[in-house]
Amino acid sequence: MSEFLQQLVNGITVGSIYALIALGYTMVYGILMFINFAHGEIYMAGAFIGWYLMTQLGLPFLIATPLTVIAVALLGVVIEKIAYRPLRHASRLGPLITAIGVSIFLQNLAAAIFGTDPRPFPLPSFLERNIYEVGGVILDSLQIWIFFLSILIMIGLDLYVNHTRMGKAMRATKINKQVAPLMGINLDTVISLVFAIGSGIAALGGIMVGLYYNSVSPTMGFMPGLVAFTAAVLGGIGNIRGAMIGGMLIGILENLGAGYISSGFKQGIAFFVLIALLLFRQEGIMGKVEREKV
Amino acid sequence: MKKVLTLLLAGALVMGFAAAASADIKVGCALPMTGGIAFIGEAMMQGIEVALDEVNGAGGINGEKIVLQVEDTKSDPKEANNAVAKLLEVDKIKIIYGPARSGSVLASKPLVAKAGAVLLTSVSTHPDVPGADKGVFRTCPSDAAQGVVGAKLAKDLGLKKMGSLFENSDYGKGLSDVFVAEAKKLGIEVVIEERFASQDQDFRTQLTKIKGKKVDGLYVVATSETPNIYKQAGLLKLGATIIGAEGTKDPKLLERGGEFMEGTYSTSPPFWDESPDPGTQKFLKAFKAKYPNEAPRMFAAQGYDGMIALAEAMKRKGTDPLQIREGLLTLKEFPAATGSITMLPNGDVVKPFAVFQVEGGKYVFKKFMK
Amino acid sequence: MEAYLAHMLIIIGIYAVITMGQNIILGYTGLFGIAQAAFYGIGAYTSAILALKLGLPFWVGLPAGALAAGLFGWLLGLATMRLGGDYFCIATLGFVVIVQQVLLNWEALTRGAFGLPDIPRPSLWGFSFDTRLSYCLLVWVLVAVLGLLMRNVADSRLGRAFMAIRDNETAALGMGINTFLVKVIAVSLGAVYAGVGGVLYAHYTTYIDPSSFSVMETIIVLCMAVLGGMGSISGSILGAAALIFAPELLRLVGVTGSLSIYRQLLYGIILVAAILTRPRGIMGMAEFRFQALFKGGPWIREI
Repeated sequence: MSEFLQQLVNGITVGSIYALIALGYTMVYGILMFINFAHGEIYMAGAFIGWYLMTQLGLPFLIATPLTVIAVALLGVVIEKIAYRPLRHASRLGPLITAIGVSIFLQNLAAAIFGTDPRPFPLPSFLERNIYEVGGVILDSLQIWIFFLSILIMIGLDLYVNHTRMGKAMRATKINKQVAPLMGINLDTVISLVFAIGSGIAALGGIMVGLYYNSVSPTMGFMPGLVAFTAAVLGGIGNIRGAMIGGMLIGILENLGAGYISSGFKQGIAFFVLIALLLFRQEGIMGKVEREKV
Repeated sequence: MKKVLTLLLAGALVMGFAAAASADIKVGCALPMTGGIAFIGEAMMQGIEVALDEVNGAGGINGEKIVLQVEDTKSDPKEANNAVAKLLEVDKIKIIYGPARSGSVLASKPLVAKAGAVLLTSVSTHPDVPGADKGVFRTCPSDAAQGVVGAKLAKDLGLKKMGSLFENSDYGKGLSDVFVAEAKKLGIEVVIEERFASQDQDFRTQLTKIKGKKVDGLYVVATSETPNIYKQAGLLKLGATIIGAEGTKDPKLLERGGEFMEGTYSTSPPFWDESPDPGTQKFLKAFKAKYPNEAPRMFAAQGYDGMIALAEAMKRKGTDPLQIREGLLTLKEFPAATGSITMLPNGDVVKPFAVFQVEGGKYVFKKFMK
Repeated sequence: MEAYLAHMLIIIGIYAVITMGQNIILGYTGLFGIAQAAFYGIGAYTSAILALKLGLPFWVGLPAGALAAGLFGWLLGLATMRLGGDYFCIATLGFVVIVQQVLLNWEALTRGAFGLPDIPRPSLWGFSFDTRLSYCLLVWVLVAVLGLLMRNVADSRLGRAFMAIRDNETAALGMGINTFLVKVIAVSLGAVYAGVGGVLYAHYTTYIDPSSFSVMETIIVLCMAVLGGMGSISGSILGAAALIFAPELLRLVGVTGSLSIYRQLLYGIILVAAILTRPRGIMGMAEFRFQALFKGGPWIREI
């Protein structure tokens, strides 16, 4: 029994990380109907910039982290402006390809600057790991931090989108991109803000992961990015709570599946689950069905 | 006067001729400079450069210097195939050093055989890699030997119930399989074999399963994933003695793994700072002179070994690829950085393995094992 | 030098075929399916296993690999076709991951990570396609055949059904087209093409392992299709050529060795720049008119 619970704990931690990344995907997709393939690299950028500020410049965690978040938010906005905005009205695939190009570019830029070796990312003292053992299940304090942080961010984001003017603007843009400007909404501002927020959150996730695994590397964003996107779709793309649920679910299923079926299939499980679920419920867990009218 | 001029002219011609004849020897390096194992390629290049300094500094091979042409294999067998193909056919270089990944060497073997070229690898440990008749040689010992050593060490340490955690690749699976087979022969129960994807960071799932089996020992085949594996094993209170393969012995890993690396064992070709082997010391001295701020990694030492082996073979028999093949086969107890090289007729080498244990944040040599 | 060029042309030819398959699915039918790497892998492994375990010749492996891929395409289509556009995309991507994992873990069949070495080159009545040049010819004959097939499909009722679905699925339904069936056929046909590419690849490199059939690979194929111009046969070839040549050109120009990272950086930039300047791809939806070489007239034919 304790093995099962242990796997559950492992799954929830990993799931929280997927959820954080998934939030960014889901926000961008919800408004722009666009899969930002470079999002995984944004997360990686957050990890690296945070790492750089903390280990190379020696800045304390509480200063470095907000700086990183702002820097990466800006990065997201800049990328959108240069690589995605010009293609907003072109075919659906154009932005996708540029996103892939941006992803390759960022990965190799990080490798060129920092080298391909993973770098250690030591924990700041106030986040020191305390191990708790509860009924044969081992929890460490960092896992608890990560879990609560993602819940907090999700709640915060949910509140923002549902209860502020800007959030309202975002929802309006999501519902109808063409009409929104007529209501006085500045599309460009809304979109930039969406990218900024999504990227900032991913950056936070990147720092947490870097600290949790004590490692940052240029390729760390690729696979988690993919899985996080799956999580976003699973939860119903465009839906913030869905992203959270999807992320958690995939994290848990990955661990239970690998734990009880075969660890060799760990990566495939997420997708398997996804396909299975989508067959039963096309919109994902919390998505809304949109019928196309002729 | 005429006589002097003629002599001068003759002298100039001779000198010109000598200069023209003194061409460089090109060696094609197909190494992973990008991709998952780029850190291996980079370290190897360091060792190769040290070797070149030594060889070329001493006048090269009969006055000719060795020059490198480096191609990136991108850590992928398909790309390695491309890289080797390019070296062989576009650059017309028939002396190939590398690739690193066993799968990449296997993929390129037919090309080398067909071109009558010679390929030397210094880090590919898969049992199927060498093939002297096809021109493929290596200067590092086979996994077939290392797995056996791992099992014998486990037996020596009195471990009775073990598990194996390995990288899901040709290298990881191959080595683990050898270990498991030998362990069972020696009477050790192997109750669980778990795998992970290369460069994974989270092993808690596998480690939780392994803990559930209540093993007293764990055999680990990993490279850059090592610190995380050991740390998570520690956090989860696995309580098993860990024996790692040579990928787990690397100073950079100690940096990242910290206290969780303490007490773990690793088997590796004999290369360490305090080694009494003169070949090792010679390399260490030269390396530290050239790269004063870097810790010499085993891949660098292996990179060096492969290059000096090639150079020696060229010195003994000639610089033609078929001559180099012959030359390599003559190497017996040739001093090198990771233990002396004795080439077997099939292109493989046999070396004793060194066992290390991490004590006080350092790899401490314990003993040799075969 | 010729051998190296032949090598390049072979790789381009193989990818061209796979890209054509991608174009049938995406360019003609408008389905955002990106599982080509999985079908390519299935084709490659089927033929390789038949050759190595049963000693069957390439000429059996080729149709077998193509059919196996087509079969899986059919099954995938059946399973996922009810999903809306972007969900379908992610499902096909998931299929690539699942197939790669199966190839990696089903060791009894595929030898897992060790791969399958020593795959024989094809031979016909005593003549062995050992040289690059001869294999290149083989590949391009198949490219031509498959290209012609694709053109015929485009002009046929099936092809028109594909395009009707792409342009407006609900209207196509209204016209009496069994859209579900047609879409599954599209995926299956696209898969067959990828399967052929896989067989050609396996018997060329004589060594395959699961790492070649990855998400990255399937994305590269997608890029080739988009870059070349979706729905264009010549575009498939051009897109493949462009993306294969680019890193090789850089390699030749001397951006090699530890500068490889810069080379890949450039690759990313090229992708972005290419799409920004020509979003519909090089050929857009047009075709290169081969007749222009013989009979004159315009070089490009708009569809």
